[in-house]
Amino acid sequence: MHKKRLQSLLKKLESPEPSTRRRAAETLSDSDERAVYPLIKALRDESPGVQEAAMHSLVTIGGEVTAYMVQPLLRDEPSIRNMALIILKELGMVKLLLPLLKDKDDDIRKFAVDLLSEIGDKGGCRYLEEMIHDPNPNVRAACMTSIGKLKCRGLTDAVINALDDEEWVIFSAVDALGELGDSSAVEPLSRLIKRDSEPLRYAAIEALGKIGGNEAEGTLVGFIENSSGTIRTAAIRSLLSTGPGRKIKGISGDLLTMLSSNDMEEVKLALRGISSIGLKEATPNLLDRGGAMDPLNPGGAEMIPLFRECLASFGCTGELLEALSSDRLKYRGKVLAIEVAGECSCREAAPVLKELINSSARDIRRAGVRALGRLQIGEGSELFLSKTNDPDGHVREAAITALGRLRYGSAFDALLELLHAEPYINVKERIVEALLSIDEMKFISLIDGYESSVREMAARYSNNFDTLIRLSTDGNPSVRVSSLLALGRFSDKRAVEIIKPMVKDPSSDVRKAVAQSIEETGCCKVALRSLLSDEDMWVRFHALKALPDTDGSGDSALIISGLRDRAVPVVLKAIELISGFPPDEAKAALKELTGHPDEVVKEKVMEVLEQS
Amino acid sequence: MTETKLNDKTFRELRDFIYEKSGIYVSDTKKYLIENRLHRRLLEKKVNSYEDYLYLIKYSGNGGELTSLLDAVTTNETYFYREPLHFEVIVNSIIPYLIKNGLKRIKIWSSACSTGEEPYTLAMLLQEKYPLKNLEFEIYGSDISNNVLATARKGVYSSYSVRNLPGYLLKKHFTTTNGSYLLSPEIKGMVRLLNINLVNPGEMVRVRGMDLVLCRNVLIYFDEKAKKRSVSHIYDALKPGGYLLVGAAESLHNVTRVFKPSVVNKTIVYKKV
Amino acid sequence: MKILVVDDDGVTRKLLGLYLKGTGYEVEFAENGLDALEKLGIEDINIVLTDLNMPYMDGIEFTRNMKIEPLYKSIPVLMVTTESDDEEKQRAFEAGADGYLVKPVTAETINATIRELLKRIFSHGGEINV
Repeated sequence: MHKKRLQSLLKKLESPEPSTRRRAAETLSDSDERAVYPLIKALRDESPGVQEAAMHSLVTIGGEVTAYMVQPLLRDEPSIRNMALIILKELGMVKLLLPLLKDKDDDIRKFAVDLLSEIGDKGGCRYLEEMIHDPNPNVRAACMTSIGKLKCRGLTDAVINALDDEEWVIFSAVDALGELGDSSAVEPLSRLIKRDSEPLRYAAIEALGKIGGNEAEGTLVGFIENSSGTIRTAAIRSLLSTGPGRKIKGISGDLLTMLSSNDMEEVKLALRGISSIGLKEATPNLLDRGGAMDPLNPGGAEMIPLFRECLASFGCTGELLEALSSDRLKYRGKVLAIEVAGECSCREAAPVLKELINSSARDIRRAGVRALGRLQIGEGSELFLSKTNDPDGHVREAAITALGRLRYGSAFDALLELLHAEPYINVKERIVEALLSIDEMKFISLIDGYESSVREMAARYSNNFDTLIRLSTDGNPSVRVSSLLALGRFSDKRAVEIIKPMVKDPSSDVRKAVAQSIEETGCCKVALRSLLSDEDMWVRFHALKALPDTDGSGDSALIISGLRDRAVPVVLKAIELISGFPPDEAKAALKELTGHPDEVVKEKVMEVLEQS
Repeated sequence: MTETKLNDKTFRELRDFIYEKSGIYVSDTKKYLIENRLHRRLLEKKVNSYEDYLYLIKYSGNGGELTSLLDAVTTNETYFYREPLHFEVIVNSIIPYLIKNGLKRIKIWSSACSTGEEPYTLAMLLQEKYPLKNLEFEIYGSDISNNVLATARKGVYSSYSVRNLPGYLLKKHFTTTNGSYLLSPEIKGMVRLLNINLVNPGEMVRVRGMDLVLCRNVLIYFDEKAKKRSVSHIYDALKPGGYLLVGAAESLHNVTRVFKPSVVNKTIVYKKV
Repeated sequence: MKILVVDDDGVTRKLLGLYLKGTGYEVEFAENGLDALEKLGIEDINIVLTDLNMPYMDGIEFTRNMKIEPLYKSIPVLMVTTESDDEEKQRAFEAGADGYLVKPVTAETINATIRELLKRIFSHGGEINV
């Protein structure tokens, strides 16, 4: 940073306006050591906005000078100390913390131990080993916690030895053993369960759950059988967290209690337990609790599928059917029940579902129609047809999908009608798919009466060769594109005849599709040549991409010529393909590119050269 | 089109790209979400693989595809009068406090407005409670996705979206056709809609001097760094003494110290000190 | 009787929580002063146990904030920290702390100190919601 600019910013740092000081502090992040002292002063600014900006800038400037100058702040007043800790953590320089580990002040040593684990550098483990026998118990306890956080496996034995210390330290040691996960800790932890101290018993139980394995599980099962109350719940939690499906007797009541917890981790464990013992009697509880989750929140969105999975593991049960018919369930719980019924192909649910699809709640109608669609029941054309006029797009979509899948001939005309009026693209697609599925020939014979977007969908979803041939000559380029891409799936010679002349198509999208098609069919290398010098970069891109799959030699030269393309993506693609050449060939080809003006190209060349 | 799968390496590259441009961090567990949402985009652009799609995003000039990518990744459903308690606190506690301090023009910003329900709800409630001629509300709504802003501009909503509104507001400000609810031009006119990326300092400079900012249910999609950045930008957008409201399950207590929390009616309200 | 335990270290929160729950108190947790201010507004807290060194808002600043707030100023604040020097203790009491314990603490010490604080409130005719 230029001296003048620095001076101006430092002056602004003293402005009476807090927003000016803050902006100055922020901008000083572009500076260097010269700004460190003023920024440290700014940590004491009366405005928290300025303090924070100064803190972030010190981190951005970084470096040893900053770390050295921030360290003394650890002896300052509390708010300054704590900002210094955040800065030192972000700076992440383990070596500079070493003198602090030997400081006279207990709290400074503790800060240093905490920082070692927060920085996250496993190199800190050996320094932690030296602190295990520190004279101060808070430092020792912090040491245990840090060993656990850093996962210093080699120190497991040392931590086990700390189980002889005072309770405060033992507690941290136990927690650390859980984090370290070493099974040699199981035996000493099992002894702790029998000790007098409740907190230590809890901690040991939790640690056993984290370590897992047969021995730990055995200890926990034994404990559960002889305990009650909250410590029993803790042991059950621990056991369930060791892994899926361990069958334990007599915990149904506990699982239901855990299910109503506000702690989502506990609920997840309860679900696991309920699935593993097949507790279908829990169905009403599951529907209530699962139905109480909000799908619009990430937390809810994560949990709801877990509830669904658990319920579905029971299959189609009497409890589920009862829930579907009952008025008691709130609507999201009902949606959940309906989804499960569909997933389990629960035919007995059909009568109830037929009623539910008339609900005023759109989510219930959606789920109901989808579920009915999965049931594949004999009659139903009328039912689904009536839902193709539902005000909700998803309901319409589900109904149409069902009609197509079940191939209801009687629905054909009604679907054709819908095609004109339907506003949503994805629903339109389902209509086209359904029409193709019910009677492709009839639909295609009428296709010219529809707009290009419909014809394009037909090309995309058809599996009929003749349909695709016909659409490949459509007046609209996007229809031609989709036909070409679909034709690429057929290794039929007739496809080749259609594809070849299209290299001269006026639309670059079509020419690009030709290249993509050739990539699929593996034919027509000759056609590729003209595409390789196409005026559109994406056509050249895909033509290059199609080269290695076609037969014939002389490909390498063509690919190498791509390196001289004027468009970066084409060059990158060529490099990518060359990386698959034998190492010597690749090196020779790429040598000339090391001086390429584009940074990304240079980087990629280096990457490939290093690998070979 | 053959079966396209999103492999881990490509997913990471996509995720990094999205994060760099928007601050939104797509966690591993959400990989399927990206796959699903982008699948349609691949179809539309006639691209065979996610790898080729990455090329497209990075090299199709003027960042056009980026807009579509962000649209695909960020669209989140919302509804009118979501979290009624928050609105109550705004209308009955925050606004009166601002008025008491002598303000005649109050600037409010809904910073993740999606399809517009949040700022429009504010407009309706404020117009109801404060119809005075000498008190002016300037309401802004912004989002990173053009798609949702377009929907907000149209002002057409489903019955699902309006289900939480008190009947009298529904009747007063909407007309119904064919099961859709059309918002009145008067309310639409009270809200100015903008496309703003919360982590982009250049864009955030456009919003300044706010008295109240709502940032509900969007920070949860950010990682720690992006959260700090966007909250810092929001701080700069607020006047001293201005207020910030986040979602019911969210908190700033391990993000920043520049806002002082107070609790009104079980709702956490942050004040720019 | 609900106690708010404020500490940035998860293990400490767990241990203090177990000590208190073992006596029969209900316990809520917070990670730092800011978190604590939020929890105070939402939960009905009777006593606060707070650490001193915490990021974003330390125990001293938090106590000061509590004591100027009419709704919270009568809630007793017990500082539980590793800091043993008199200067810190002085600072804490000046900020309004009602008690000060140096870690490590035992279950007995914590519970005895809390009983003392409660006695003080009762004898001054204060109200407690149990």
